[in-house]
Amino acid sequence: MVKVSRKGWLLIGGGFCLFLLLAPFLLRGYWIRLLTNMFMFGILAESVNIIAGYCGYLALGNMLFFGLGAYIVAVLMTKFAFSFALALIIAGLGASLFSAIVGLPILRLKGQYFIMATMALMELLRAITNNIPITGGGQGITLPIFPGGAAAANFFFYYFMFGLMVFAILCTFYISKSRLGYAFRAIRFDEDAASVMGINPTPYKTIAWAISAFFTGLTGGTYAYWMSYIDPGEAYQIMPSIKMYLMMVLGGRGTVLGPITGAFFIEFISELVWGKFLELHFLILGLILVLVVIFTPKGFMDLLRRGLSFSKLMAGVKENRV
Amino acid sequence: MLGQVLVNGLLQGGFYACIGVSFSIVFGIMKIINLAQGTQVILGAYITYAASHLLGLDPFFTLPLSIIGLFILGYMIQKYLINLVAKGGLIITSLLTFGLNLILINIALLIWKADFRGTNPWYMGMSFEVAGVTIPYVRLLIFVIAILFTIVLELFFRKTETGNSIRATALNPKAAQLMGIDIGKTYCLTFAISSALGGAMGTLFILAKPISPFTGGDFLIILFSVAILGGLGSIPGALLAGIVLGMVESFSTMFFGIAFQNVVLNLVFILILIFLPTGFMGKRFYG
Amino acid sequence: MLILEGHGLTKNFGGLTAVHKVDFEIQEGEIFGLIGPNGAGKTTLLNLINGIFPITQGEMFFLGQRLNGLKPHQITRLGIGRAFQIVRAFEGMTVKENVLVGSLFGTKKRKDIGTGMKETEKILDFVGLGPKKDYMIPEITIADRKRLELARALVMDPKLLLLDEVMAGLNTREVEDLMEMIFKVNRQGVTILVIEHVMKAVMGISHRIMVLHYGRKIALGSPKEIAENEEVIKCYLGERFVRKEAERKGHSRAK
Ligand SMILES: Nc1ncnc2c1ncn2[C@@H]1O[C@H](COP(=O)(O)OP(=O)(O)OP(=O)(O)O)[C@@H](O)[C@H]1O
Ligand SMILES: [Mg+2]
Repeated sequence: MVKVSRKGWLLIGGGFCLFLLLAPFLLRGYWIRLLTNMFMFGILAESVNIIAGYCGYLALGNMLFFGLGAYIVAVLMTKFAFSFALALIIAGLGASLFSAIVGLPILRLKGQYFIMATMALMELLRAITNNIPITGGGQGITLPIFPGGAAAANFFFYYFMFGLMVFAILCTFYISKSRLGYAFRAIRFDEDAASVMGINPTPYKTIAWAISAFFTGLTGGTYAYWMSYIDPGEAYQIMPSIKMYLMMVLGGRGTVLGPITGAFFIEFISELVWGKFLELHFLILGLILVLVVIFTPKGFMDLLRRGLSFSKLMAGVKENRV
Repeated sequence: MLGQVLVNGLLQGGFYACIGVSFSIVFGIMKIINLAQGTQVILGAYITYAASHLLGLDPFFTLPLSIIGLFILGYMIQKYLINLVAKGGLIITSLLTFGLNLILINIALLIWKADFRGTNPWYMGMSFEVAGVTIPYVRLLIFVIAILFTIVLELFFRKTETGNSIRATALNPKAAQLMGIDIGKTYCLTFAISSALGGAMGTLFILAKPISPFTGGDFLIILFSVAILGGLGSIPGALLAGIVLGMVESFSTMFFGIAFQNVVLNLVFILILIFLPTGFMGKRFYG
Repeated sequence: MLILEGHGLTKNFGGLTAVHKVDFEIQEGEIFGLIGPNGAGKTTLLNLINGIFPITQGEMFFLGQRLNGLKPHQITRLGIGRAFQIVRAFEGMTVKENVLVGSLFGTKKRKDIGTGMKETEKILDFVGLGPKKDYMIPEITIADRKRLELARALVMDPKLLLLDEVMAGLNTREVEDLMEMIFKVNRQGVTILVIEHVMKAVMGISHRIMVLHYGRKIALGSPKEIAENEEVIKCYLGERFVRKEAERKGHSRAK
């Protein structure tokens, strides 16, 4: 097995970052858009990581904030002539605020109940968006086109998503080293024990979900402007929600860079492999989900750490088996 | 008018109760959210579709086929997939069942394409009238069979040894294991029963409405609602919950139109979770 | 001065009454033993003190302040630390991080990570876990997990320490070590409520003992009184213990 030293990792990471910074000057539009998409899923997976990976609350319907952010930007820009920057800030804060309001009753629910509640909440938002005039109903909304042409748009959204992703990573890094991070993790592992150790779970859970919603909302808003079109079916989807969780689990729950790695990996192969087999798209994603949860439930890094041998792989499987 | 709405709700409710129970036994006993259950129902419907078209059977008489087919499928799914991750926690099991859902949908897509398919038995569209309320024969049949299945299941859990060992496992897997119950096998059986019941409901569903591989997703909110409102593992509770839900749907369609059906159902579910998390019966688990 | 008082404490779980009209008073500075057969309601009583379960009936006071209706974290910050019976350490955190959580959140003072870390190290050294501070929870022994529970409770600088069977599953040597530690903590002025099945330990360290049986208090008194109480012997201690105890005393007298 190849062993990479700490210095080696730093070098690889640094080189990769440099490449990402220069990529728009080196690559064609297709690759730029693919990378932008990878950044987007990186942010989404990192957001899910904060509420689910660190705090243990499995918001399976987290895409609801994506849709909310997308629609806030779309409606503000088209109906009220807001600038993108202002609309986006409102989208992020709006998603956060919404998570805090619904979080008060919903974050009291445990486990399966919370999962179901967030899924229903996403369906509810989609159903409402489908039925009210200001969002254009099922027809969707067309946003203003990014000024300056396709190449400029590629450039802009590439760096914008990249910046957002770096912001999300730094934020998660800060959380992981702070009181917040310890409180989140304590709640994830044992909420009752955490409260007996002096942690008031309610505010911490609310904060975790609000941060998660903030980034997800920003991403949704950026996506709407990037695509310059959004409809309810696109904005509120269960599939990307599940993908975000897959990326987080594959990369490593409750780690800073794991979800990003997972996102890059899954988005990359999804583009290269699934693009070729459109009619097998679901099947392949389904198989990946099944294989990942059976063989790498603790993430890919954990597998590498234990060593990549067949017997170790099977030993890992035994752990969760009844 | 009001009578018709009530009867529609009631008839729909019987069906909802039964698919709800099929979901909630897995939820109550293994604490697993089976996100593939809606699609399993649809697979049952496809079995009926295929059998009635290929063999020329009356769709109603394909019921044993969908039950047996889904029982076997369910048993294998549990044995070779879910049992491998059953102790892995919620996120792992939920991702697994969703992955399964995608695989099943894709298989259905490959075989039957994305078009809507239905059955058209000779008794389709026939109905009778009582006190100004129209009752289609098919709907009544679905209602009666769904209720019947639900009651049989209740009796199975209460009166048979296997049923009792499943309930014991639900209450305390470790203790059950010490008493000599094979947890893995019990789980397989539970999941197989859940799938079989779902398959049967698929047969009933396609009697009344055409389906596509994606129809299963529409059931999810119903499954959740019946499971929670009915109280986990309480079958009388599930019956009541199914009927209440059928009524909610039928009244919301009358007052707000069909477009708002999803708004109402999801909103009602969230309110149930917040205000009645232990359901009508106030009981959480089998016992 | 009284540190903790319970008046008519009752807890129902559906139809089951786990704790039934229990009255008790704990003096500041004492070691108060709580014993009783399995399922007697001992852990449930601690959960009532902690606020994990709401009290069905009755009242509880800590240093004169009413505890009813307070949340667990509020009660903890008043100065009540708890070591759990089923070890509830946060798996996926290291030994040190587990204790750090208590240090960061378990007291009224707001601390930064650095200060918390210093206190954590001190406590870890005290319970003898210093060398294992970077281990993950699954990597340490049962005895170490029990010490960790103690450390997590101690780091919150409690006035009252609740210990739920911290000696179960330990060998004689480890039990003695732990008893020594408990004495040391008590000498520093911490009141201790200890639940224990290891009779030798609980008789040896407690100033007073309360006996629960099916949720009811059947006796309260000095270890000697408890050991001689007819009902306690019948319900819990059994003849075997009494005989052994008598032999031990006779033996030491002979010496
Ligand atoms: N959360 C709960 N819900 C329902 N019943 C409970 C709950 N917790 C405890 N009980 C019941 O309350 C009774 C008292 O339990 P408790 O754990 O307090 O006993 P204990 O004295 O600590 O026993 P042990 O010595 O075995 O630890 C038992 O019958 C138990 O089954
Ligand atoms: Mg106990």
